Amino acid sequence: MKKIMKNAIFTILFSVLIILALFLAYLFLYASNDRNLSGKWTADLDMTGQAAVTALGWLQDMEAVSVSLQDMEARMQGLTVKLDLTLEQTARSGGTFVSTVQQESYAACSQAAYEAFAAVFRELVADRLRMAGYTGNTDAEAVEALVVQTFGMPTVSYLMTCVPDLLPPLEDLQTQYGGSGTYETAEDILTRQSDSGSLIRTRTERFIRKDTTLILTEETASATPGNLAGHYPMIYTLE
Amino acid sequence: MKPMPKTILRKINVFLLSVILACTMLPVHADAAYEIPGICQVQTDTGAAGTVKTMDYNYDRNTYFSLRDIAMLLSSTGKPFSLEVTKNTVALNPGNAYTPAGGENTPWENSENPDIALRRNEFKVSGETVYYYTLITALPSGSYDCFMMAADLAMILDVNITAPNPGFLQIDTQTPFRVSPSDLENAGYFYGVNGVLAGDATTGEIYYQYQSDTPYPIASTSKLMTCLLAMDAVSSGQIALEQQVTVSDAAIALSASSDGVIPLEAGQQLTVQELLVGALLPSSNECALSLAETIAGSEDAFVQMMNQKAAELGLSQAVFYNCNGLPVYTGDAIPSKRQNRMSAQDMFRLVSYLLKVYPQITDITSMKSAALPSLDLEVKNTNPILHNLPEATGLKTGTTNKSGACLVTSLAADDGTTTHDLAVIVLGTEDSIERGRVSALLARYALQTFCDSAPEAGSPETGTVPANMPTHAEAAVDRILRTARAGG
Repeated sequence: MKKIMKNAIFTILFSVLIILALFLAYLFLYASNDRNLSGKWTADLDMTGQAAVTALGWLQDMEAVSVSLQDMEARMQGLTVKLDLTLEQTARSGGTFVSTVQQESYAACSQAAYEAFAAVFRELVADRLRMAGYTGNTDAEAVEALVVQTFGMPTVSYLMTCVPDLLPPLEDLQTQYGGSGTYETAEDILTRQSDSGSLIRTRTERFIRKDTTLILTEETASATPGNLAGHYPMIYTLE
Repeated sequence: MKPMPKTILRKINVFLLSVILACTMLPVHADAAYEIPGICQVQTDTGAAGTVKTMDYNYDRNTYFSLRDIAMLLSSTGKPFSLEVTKNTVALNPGNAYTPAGGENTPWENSENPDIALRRNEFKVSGETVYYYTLITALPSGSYDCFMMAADLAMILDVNITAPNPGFLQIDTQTPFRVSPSDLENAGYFYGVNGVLAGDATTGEIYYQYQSDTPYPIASTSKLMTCLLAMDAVSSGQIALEQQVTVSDAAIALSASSDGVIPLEAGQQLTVQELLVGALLPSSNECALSLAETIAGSEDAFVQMMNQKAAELGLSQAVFYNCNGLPVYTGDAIPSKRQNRMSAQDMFRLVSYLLKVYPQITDITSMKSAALPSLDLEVKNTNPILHNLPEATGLKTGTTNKSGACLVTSLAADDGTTTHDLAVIVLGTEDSIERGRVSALLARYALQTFCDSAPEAGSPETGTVPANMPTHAEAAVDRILRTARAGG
């Protein structure tokens, strides 16, 4: 009986070892060995959390009605800004890069965020209208008409003009994520050095490339300028 | 014990009868009120000056001034006013010429006590009916004169009145009336008042406060919380304004008691709307009880809701024992007398919430009187400010022996671009006269401060936000609600 047990345990351990060896071989041969990162990569920056928290913070000033963060995030799902990263390998383990935030994508994301925000605002206003004994129509169109009558502009425009920005300014995103310069790869570390005038910035990230996917994760040992921690890992797709 | 001899009893009886007879013949008054005639020198900024007859009521320097004497003095200035005084009413029209009745700006003909009572007399100011505590007395010529507090007249005429020295009054006809509560506080004006607060209920800005964070009994102003919960119940669909409510035995018993306001009989039905009107205008305790029982099933359960709502709103000092503000005794062997209490700050927060979320409450509280069709009864609003200030929109009076006279007032203030609700909280004044005066002065101060701080029309934009556009959610909703209500 003991012998059977020993054989079984040995078999299981051996199988696990074989699987691990195969996995490491896969990573060695395919995943981490793809050092050529040349190409135009695109990543999505998720703005849902930030936009939802900002919108919620503003709406919390309203008396007697409320919305939860979960509801607000659900209403703002899929708010992303596209980030382009073009890498061109010019040496054995390095080259040049250009990184930019897509302006059109930013504008579309901002519009979508404010439209979702406006929809929630209209619903809360409708609740308050009913509480205030208003007997007129309180559907979205009717509330929108009241907003236009009150402020002389649609809800989205009013919110864009008069309340805190839901998204960080495009300029800030460009400063944070954009830039151009040179890069180097060593092992699974990507080091980008960008120069904007007199300021030289170095960003070190761990990377994994698999086919048309490039994953950048935070390199904890590096002093990454800017606060990107919230957006890691960044998943780029090769166009 | 030996019986008292008949002769002694007879002598005592004769003595008592003599005293009674003497009292009926001599002008002896049982009350402590008396009036002290006097004079005051009045100077205007236009150079007009003269003697004005005065009466100090009850105490020295609690001075009321002759309207006829002042009207005569101001007739040559830019602030003339006409005056017609009867035994019970006064018609005062600013801007009109004064017709002398004779004897103006002369001292009293004799120093005899004129023996008149301070009353809440009806005034017609520019045709509008208002009420002021004044003294009306007959003149030797057969006509009447009215004696009024300087501050009341200053507010009517919108002139600034100062008293640089005792027995001297300066009237600046070209300077609008202004109030400085901090100066009043320094002079001891609020001594004896429990707590006051004046502020902008729309923005939450507090203009002035005195002892505003200490809780005091609030009497019938408690009914504002009762009505807030009733509004909550209506907006949630639990009850409807048109819903008929059969008054309970407890409400009928309360109605028949000394605290009863509206006569109710068994089986009578009122709508929720009528109960709200009854609770808010004549301060009907039985209507408040009926609302509480309808919403929560019992008053005890409703009181729990009141305290829970107070906690939700952050009213840190508020404690409620009943739905109407009457004193409540514990059932102990030595019963304790308890009363609902709040601080002026708590009341300001409650009123601000009420005015923001349920602005329709002022549709009720701004009515000077209202009909209760179910009872075929008309009820009158107990709020004194409502008559004298056109900006006043309610809200609630309250008085018990312990609380003193309380008044919570809301005012609609318009700066030309937006309308705000201002609130004045006055807790624990000596009587309804002081309550009205303190509230009127603070109401004027609130309006004055709002106008002073309002942005001028066409003022430049600040940053990227256009001028006069709200940047806070509640302010935005407030503007939209006002648009909707104006359109509705």
